[in-house]
Amino acid sequence: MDNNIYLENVTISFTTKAGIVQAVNHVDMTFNSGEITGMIGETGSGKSVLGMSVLRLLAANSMITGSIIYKNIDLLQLTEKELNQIRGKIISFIPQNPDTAFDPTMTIGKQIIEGYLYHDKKSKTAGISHGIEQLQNYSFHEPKKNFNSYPFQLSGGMRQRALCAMGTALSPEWIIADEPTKGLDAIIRQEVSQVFYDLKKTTNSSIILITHDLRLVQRICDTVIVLYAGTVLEQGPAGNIFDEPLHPYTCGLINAQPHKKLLPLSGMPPNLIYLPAGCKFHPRCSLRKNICCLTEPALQNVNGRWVRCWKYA
Amino acid sequence: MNDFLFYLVKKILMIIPVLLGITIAAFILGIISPSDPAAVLLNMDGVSIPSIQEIANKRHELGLDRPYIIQYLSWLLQILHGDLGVSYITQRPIWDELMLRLPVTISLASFTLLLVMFTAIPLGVFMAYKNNSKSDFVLRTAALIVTSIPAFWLAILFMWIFSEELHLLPTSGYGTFAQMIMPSFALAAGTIGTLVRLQRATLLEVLEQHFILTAKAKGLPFPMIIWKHGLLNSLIPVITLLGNYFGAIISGSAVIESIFSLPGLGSYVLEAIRGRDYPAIQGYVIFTGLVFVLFNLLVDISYLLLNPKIRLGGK
Amino acid sequence: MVNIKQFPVIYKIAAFILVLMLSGAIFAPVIAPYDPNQVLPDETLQSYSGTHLLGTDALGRDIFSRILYGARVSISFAVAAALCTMIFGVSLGMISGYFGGTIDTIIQLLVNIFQGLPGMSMMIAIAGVMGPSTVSLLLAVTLTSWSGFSRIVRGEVLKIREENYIEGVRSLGASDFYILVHYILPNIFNSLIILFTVRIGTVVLSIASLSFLGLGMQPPEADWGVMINDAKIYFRSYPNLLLAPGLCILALCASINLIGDALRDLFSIQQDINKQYL
Repeated sequence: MDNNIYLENVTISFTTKAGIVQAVNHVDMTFNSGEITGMIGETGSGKSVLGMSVLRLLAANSMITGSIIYKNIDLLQLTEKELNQIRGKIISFIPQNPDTAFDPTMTIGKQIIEGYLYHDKKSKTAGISHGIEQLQNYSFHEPKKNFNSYPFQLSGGMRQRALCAMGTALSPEWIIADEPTKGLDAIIRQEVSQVFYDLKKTTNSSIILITHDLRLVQRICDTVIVLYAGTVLEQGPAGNIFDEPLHPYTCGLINAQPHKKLLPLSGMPPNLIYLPAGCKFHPRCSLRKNICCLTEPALQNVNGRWVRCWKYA
Repeated sequence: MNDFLFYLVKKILMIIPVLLGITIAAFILGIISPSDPAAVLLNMDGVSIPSIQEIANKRHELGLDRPYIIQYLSWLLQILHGDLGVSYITQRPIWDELMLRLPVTISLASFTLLLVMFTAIPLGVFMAYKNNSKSDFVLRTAALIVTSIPAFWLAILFMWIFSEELHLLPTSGYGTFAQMIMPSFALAAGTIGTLVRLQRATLLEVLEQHFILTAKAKGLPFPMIIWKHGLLNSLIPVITLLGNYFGAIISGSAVIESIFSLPGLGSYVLEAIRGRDYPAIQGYVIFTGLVFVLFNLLVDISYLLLNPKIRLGGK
Repeated sequence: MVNIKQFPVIYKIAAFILVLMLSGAIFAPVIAPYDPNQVLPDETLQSYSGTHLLGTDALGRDIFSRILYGARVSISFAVAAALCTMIFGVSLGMISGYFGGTIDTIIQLLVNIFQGLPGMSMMIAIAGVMGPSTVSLLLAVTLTSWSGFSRIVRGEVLKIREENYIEGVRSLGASDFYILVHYILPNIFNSLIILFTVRIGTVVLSIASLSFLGLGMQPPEADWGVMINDAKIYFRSYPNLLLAPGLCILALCASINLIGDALRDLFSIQQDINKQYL
């Protein structure tokens, strides 16, 4: 039995008053354990939704079909009580936006060890020392003081690191980090990417990194999955994808970066209530052909990578 | 710490215009009252009918012919020395009479407020926990109906059921715990309805916040999340409104006091109105206003203490 | 559009009760079997019967007729008082929020002062000093509740004032007054309707309390609060005198509040639908 996470035919939709939002469409994916997998895509690509769905953290108006298998158990079939044994302890989710992810009326320390105290039934003193140790591991220079501080007393970068400290407090087997570098300046982004890199080196945790920060992905990820409008367009080893992107969308993403050609992608991501027919990317694709507008391509294996494009069919 | 002191001083400074406003309001009430204090004083023995000249002399003696501003300022000075004047009816200092009555109203209001808090807050939390279920909807509608019940009617109904029919509780008097039960419940009903809905709505809003997702991701069970993260965050807006509720309770107590014959501030002013004792009415306005303002200040201070940002001096 | 059928049953019941009461109030002269002040010394303190649907009170007056006329008094006064409060509170709130600066500070100071006066206490004092009359009651209600209105309105106006289209219209030469009437007012209309509805309910209760104390409507006026006061002495033997007027106050207030809730739901649904199309 391996520690991979398998997504089989996962579809996620949200019922809203304006219509049904199809966030994720029939996705099949494997997250390999022992690796850092990066999920990249624009806003609305479904990457955060997918990340949250593993632990069923989505809102009440969501509907998930398919299976998410971990160690031969379908996570989508577990009861809330059973799932709570996995959340934070075996699979951990680090939410985005450190400014609002913390309870403003509770100290950082208490929040970091909250799951630790609950799951492992440790004593309060043991918890506190573990929490301070965590803060030390995440380069906090005054761990005792920071432990007793409130979120508003920490800087943005410190809060992000505290979030990571919280997510790893129980040494989980899997860590899903949602946009850990969003809104942070370059130096702090460096810090945070180092944190994840070290995590991979020093612990046994496997990591899923959800982000639109391509530099971060290029720097530390082993595998990359490219998501667009809830569909996987390309998937494969990070080095290959960045050196030689196959899908037009991936090329566009990479070329849009400031240190590359700074060429923005034309058009806008589609309305998730009224998705286009055929290939979901075709309205913005410069290489589009007739068939692209009619039928959606399947994932093709090209040189050890998976691409969903008629160009390679 | 400095931040806290700053806010404290700011709050105290802000009360001063309100207190002044209360005195102005009471003063205006005195001016528009139909009786002439001079005539009343001269007629005190109930027999003599003063002549116009005598009234004019008395008015001059009392300083009632001075411009209103001067009258107000000297009256204000008087009040600041704790002299609220003398009651027409009893001839005793109004301040003393009010102080005698104050404990009754305060204990009724405090008892009621505690009742409100310990009923409404747990109920509101429960309703938020069971959001969108049948019990939630039933309780929500019940709360709304309860806010629509006139307190005085409820009081009489209570009297009928618990005193007349069941002979369980006394209908009047002040002093024992049993005598407080019906008055407090009647007074509390309306506010319980409002607070229940507020607590529920506030908690539901808090549960939409991002940090609740974080708590959920840690594998904490839902009731624990409500207790550890939801409650305190939702209490903060609720507490700031407690001041308003207390004001409503204090003013609503007048009716209840009259029904249950409780010798409080409310029944005092009602007697004063019946006896056309206008200085007493003025005194009541100032007194209740003062109590209300002081309570609000207390609430504000406790809010400052609850909010870690202000307590520790945030950025 | 919003589907009215989706609304919970309770709102429809509330609307029905409200319409029932309004019709009772409006058509009282037609429906009422007796004159509400007609004293029938031979028929005092009767229970429900064919001739007197709800019985008679201590003076032999028909309770049903008095209830109907009481509805007139309660509803018309509550609407008038709520309107007064609205006009006063809304205009001051709009001016305060829109113009800002010194005028805002002054008005806010006034709001703080008036909010520092406990409502019922002030109403009792005003009615007590000025003597119970329509004017004194209107004054009492308006003075004690305008500040709450004004505060909410000001908040809404502050939100709208920053919108871009206001800047645009102003640069086209629109006067402040024009903007206030044609742009600000329509946007706060929804909140105003809800506030107005809830305020009517509150006023009904306040006036009933004052009438009960003898400071509001005066006997022999057939006001529900007065009726409860009359019934107070007899409740031990004739509780039915108490039930009718009390239940009416309860029903009127509750249905108004429920309608207020329904409106709140309706407007938020509309807002959500509008948002999706942005």
